[in-house]
Amino acid sequence: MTTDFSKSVPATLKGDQDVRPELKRVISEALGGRKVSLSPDVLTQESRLVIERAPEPLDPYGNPISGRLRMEKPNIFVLKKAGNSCALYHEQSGEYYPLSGVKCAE
Amino acid sequence: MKSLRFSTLLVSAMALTLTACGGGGGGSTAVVPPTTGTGGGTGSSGPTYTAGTYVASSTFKNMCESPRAGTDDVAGSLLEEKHWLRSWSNETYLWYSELPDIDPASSQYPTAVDYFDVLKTSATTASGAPKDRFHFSRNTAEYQQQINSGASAGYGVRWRIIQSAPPRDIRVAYVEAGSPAETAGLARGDKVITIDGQDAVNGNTQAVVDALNGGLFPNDENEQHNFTVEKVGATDTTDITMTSGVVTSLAVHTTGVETLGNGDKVGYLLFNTFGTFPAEDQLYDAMTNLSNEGVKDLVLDLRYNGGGYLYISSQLGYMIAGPDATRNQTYEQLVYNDKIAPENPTPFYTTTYDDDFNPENPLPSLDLDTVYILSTGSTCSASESLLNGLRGIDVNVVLIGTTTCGKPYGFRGTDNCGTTYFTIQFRGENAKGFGDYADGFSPSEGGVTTGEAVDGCILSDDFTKELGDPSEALYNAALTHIQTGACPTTAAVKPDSWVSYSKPATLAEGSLLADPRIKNRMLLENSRIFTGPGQK
Repeated sequence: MTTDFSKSVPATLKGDQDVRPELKRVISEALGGRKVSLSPDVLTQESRLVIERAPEPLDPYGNPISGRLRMEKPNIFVLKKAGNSCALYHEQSGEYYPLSGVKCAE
Repeated sequence: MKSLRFSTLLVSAMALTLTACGGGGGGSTAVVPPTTGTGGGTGSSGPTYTAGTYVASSTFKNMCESPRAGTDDVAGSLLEEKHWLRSWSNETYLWYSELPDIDPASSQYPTAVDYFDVLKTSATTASGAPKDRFHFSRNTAEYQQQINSGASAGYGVRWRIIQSAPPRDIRVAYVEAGSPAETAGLARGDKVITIDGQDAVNGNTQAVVDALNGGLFPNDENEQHNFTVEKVGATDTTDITMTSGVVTSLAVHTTGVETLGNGDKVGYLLFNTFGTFPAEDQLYDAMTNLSNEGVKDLVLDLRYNGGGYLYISSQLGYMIAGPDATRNQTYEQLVYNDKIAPENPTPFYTTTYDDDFNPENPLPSLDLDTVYILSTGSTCSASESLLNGLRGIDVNVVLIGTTTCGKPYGFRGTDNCGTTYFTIQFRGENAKGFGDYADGFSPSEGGVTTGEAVDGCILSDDFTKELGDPSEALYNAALTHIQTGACPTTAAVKPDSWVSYSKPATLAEGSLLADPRIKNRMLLENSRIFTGPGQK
């Protein structure tokens, strides 16, 4: 049965669980297959997750390659809970991405 | 003086708009794209080369020898990839008239990157340095990797390579709070003696160099490496084991307020990158706190800030100078070549960036007419924009430290066939139309031999003290200058070797920079990749 997330509420991750593989999977799917890295404490303190381009690689002088960047809106995800199900809500697209094997709390 | 109050805030990351700039080329030679790919330039079919004639780069865009699935790539050839590079460079390179015109079919350049590497000017600056020191390419998939804001794989340490060749001098510039490095006991000033049993000071075989790079710059989480370090003032060494993790770094690393003898307050801000989205929030909080404290002066520590978002750099300029000094003023005008229409100038932004969660908020400001900036050769790009932008509206900048990196240029990284190319496309100029600092900004004490002279004091980075400690040499010199209007009389310390090291005349051939693992790695709060034996 498909969960209706339209009335879901913001949530955070619950308990001692490393759900990064699942989070990476759905975020990568939402971002067209791009590689994603997440820190261990992601979504444990707040429901909002800001995803942006990784820091620029260094040039041979040890400085970021460009160093003069145009502002680009990051992708924002919100962890949401509906009943016993959790999903990542992608702010830009308005899409919900159900999470498998993830426990979350309001 | 009272002891400094430190606070740490949170960080984030960034992005680069991938924009193909420019219009068409100047030529009219008919080019018929082949229906099948050819080799590296010796094939019998494909576009033809006519010296001095350039077909529009759009003709060859995304025509790839190895098209990527799920992208705009189509079957093409290496020759077409090279023709795209030639035309695109001719359209967008800032000094396109100084480009060599090389037949893309030349067998001298077996890959597209090899060909790109020579598509730049060979002119030099007044100091004799190459005019174009910023000409790069990177794997697009790696370059577009996404992270949660501020996070990256590593130990949470920023290394400072004072001397890269034996006898090497590798120091800890700073560690992030709560990071594996801090937990392991690593601290500013620690000198690396060995890594995984290899001699980090004198080891000079390629195997040792590889091991050093591997230990300093872990690729992923959960890499464990052993270090022997010499701590500041210690005669014995200390063994440390660190396991890499995904570490959240801080843009605003440290803030503090110092009260002078006359009761005036001085704010201190260690700001390490403009290149993360949350940096804006951190600056907002820090400058609000400093404003509420009523500071009369600001010491802005940019010694390790290599740049980032120009937008945030402009915001910081406003927060320093305030509304009266910045109203209707240009922060930076990007100047392209004469084939590209100029954009509107970047103003001094007065509000926070509007996003889906936070509406625009007015920024705080300190309304200062003088700012003290701490610098090294790693003070670069958007950091130099700040310095130049403030000078453009007659804010007095006092520079304490060593010559900045000298990067008034920028580019829009552009992907073709899986490689993102960075070729210089614009120069930033301030409200006075000045942007000629390719040799950096130099403190004027004792006369300047290179770089644009700025009022200030020449001092080397002081690894014996924590950053933000008022007795640390650069910060202390700024406090002295604030109180006396002059540099410390004891400041007879020569700049560290970083200055000359950071500006090699040419990049060493065959260096580890050619290693894809190194070239594509993420910024790990480090400063330099080693080169192999016999290389500078």
